[in-house]
Amino acid sequence: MTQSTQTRPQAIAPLAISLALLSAAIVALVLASELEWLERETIKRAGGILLGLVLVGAGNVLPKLVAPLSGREPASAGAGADRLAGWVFVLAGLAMIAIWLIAPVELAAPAVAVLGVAAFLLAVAALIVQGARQGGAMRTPPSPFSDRAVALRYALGMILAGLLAAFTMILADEIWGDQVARWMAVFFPLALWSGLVLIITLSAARSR
Amino acid sequence: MNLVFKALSDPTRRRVLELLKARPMSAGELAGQFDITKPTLSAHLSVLREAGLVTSEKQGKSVIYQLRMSVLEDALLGFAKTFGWELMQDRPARSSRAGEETET
Repeated sequence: MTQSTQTRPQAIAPLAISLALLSAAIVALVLASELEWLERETIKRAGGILLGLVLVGAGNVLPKLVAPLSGREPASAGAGADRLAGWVFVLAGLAMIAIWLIAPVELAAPAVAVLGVAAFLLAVAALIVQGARQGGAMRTPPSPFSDRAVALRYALGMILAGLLAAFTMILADEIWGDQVARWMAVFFPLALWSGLVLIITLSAARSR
Repeated sequence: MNLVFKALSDPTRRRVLELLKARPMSAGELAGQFDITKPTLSAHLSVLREAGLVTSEKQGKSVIYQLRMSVLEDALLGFAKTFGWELMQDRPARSSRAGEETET
């Protein structure tokens, strides 16, 4: 039988405050753009820096949201992939902020998009390697209802998926142009929400 | 954040965190790695848990400790390890002990 003796969710308050600040910053940027308070280039740079900050924040908190062992053998529960992914996201986010501050806009957008997609590919590779070490296949992820830390991991997963979508759209915009990026902007949130609804439905059915 | 700095200021606690980077471990396994009494190790683990750097779960008769560090905390651990960082309040005690050892 497994019983958690440490449930204090220390990561919740900073996460909630960060999300509130992020929302306020997005609203401010949209307003500045619509009312033409700032130049288009400044808004583009500020938006890019904001994406970098979100990646730094998400990467920083990722290894902190450990799922409970729930009866698993401790030897098979290595959190190395989480830690590596966290470091990759934080360093990539810091590099993005530096690029948006220094590089010309026409170079910054493609460079940041490539960096973002590469960071995600590296994080996924780390997870696959960890899965292979744990017995050839990835474990079934715990249900989002099983623990507060697990629920927060799902929320963080949504934020990271949103970031991946943003970087992919910027890259698509650079390669194929505005039309493709617009279609992706419609389909990515749909895919994201469908995935979330599917996970919750399956988890609810499993816990019954 | 004060609790994190306090937790990272001790070499034994830093060693515990390094050991937990490899995999989660039981209190018994951790105790086997140190030349200190179990109550002392238990006190160190309690400081780490208070700082939110580790989490513990009871599995049967043993308590399993798992690392729970953000990237920033991991970087602070690396910094503390590299520069042998210790709490200011520990220094007079250590230096006076060192002085006593030199006198004898």
